[in-house]
Amino acid sequence: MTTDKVAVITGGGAPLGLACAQELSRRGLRLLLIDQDLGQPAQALADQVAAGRVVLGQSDLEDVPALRRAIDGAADRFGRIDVLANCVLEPGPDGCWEVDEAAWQRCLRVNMKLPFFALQACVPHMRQVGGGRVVNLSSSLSAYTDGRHGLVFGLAKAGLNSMTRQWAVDLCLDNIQANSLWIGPGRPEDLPRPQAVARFVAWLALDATPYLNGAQIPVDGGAALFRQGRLLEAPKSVLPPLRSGPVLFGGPETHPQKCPPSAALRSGTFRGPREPKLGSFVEVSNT
Amino acid sequence: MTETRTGRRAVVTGGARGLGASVAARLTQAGWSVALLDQDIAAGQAQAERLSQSGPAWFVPFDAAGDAQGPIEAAAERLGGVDLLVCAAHQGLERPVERISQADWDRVIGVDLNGAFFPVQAAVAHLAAGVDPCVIHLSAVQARVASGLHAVYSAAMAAVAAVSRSLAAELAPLGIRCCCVSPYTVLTESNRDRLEEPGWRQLQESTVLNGGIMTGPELADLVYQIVTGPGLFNACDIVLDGGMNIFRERPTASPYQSSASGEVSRR
Repeated sequence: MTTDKVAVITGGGAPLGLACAQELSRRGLRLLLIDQDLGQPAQALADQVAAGRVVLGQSDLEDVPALRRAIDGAADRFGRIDVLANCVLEPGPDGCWEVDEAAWQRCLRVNMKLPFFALQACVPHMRQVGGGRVVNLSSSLSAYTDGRHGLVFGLAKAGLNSMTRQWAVDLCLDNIQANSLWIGPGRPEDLPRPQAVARFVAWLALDATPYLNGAQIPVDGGAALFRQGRLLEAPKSVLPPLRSGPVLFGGPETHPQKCPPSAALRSGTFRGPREPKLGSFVEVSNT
Repeated sequence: MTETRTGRRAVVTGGARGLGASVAARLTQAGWSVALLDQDIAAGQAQAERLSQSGPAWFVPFDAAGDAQGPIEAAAERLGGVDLLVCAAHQGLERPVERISQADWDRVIGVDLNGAFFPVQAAVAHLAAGVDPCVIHLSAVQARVASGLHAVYSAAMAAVAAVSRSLAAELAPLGIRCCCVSPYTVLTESNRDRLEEPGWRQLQESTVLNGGIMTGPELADLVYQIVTGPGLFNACDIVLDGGMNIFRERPTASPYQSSASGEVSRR
């Protein structure tokens, strides 16, 4: 697959941003990665870096003039910028009332201010190629909270969600679309793999309909279902009886993909509901 | 063009025409076997025949306001199981409140709401034994935004989204994902004649950020991403509306066109 498109990835050194970089690179894009520590992509994308197709922009994520220089430099070098993926996820201080001011400032600067000024620097270049795509990695913690953890992170990502809407509207006549992806809270083993998120980010950046715009899209594997990290007491689903009828293929011992479910159910080998993993409540999201 | 068969099996209600037909086509292109359930027998058979050039496709007569179990069982037997149920049977209604009859009400609620619930009920046991099983509901952005002439329709669409959310919680222990997509106007055979109505096209185009009117394959591609993103998507309602629900006044000029140099102002 060949494309001459170019993407800027902020937070490209952390697992999610790196996965996005790898996926977009696999799809043929040239990249500018911006992060504090770019050791991982320097290794993982060494061939691309050596070939000059991936540029690493070391940054403390708070230096706006340096950010602009990096983005303008990439535009000069590659000749264009088409995509901005804001993948910075600065977790910020834990807790609510005991938060100190420096940590508050850092969290807002990285999660809100950096994406804004990154886009501000990208827009003239996107306009020159007739449009662009912005993907903002946000969090379900911008909408759900336990009130004790991640106060600053949640409000910073809520601010990013608001900017997604603002950008989608303000830049619509420049053919620039912006969407927020909500990464879920929780233990890494409960969350989608970074590679899966990255494939969807690439789809949004390259393939998605422009009518998907200004949207808040949870990619949290159903974090809306979690309460206290587990299922609240919910009655187990009872499977309705199946009507009798001919079993068409296979037997219960065959691979599930080849075994019609009716065979497993009718032969009594279906084990019934799995152990519940998710919570029983879902709220109306406040998108 | 036939890609690798996936062995995966989908039931699409309302699959003869419109959004259902687009979703079914996207799935067969990707190697799925599909059963189209629709009340329009001639259109359903013709669509199944078209799709069967890409892969296995069957048609099963179905009235979304009527019995679901018989058609779902027939489809499950044809397919050898069900991994995906797409509830795309759809009845729109754009009519002033004083002219909505009880029959109108019953038909909209019957097709849209009954059609969002009873097929799932009939398919749960099959889905529970399926491969990465998933239910997709199609609601509409009218579930969330005020728009005139849609009193019954918007209520039905809001209810569809609520059914999806509730089922997501209830069926999660069975490993069944439930996701919803809420589009704005999609141009299909069902509304194409409205392009002739004075002002209809202008209204649609002026209420999205990027102009134009969305098409079925664009929506179907998002549905396909959800279906094939098992780790990512569950209990979600993705609004696909060209930004319709987030703005009240669309900009009339780019913020950048007023600057003399054409450069973005950075100060």
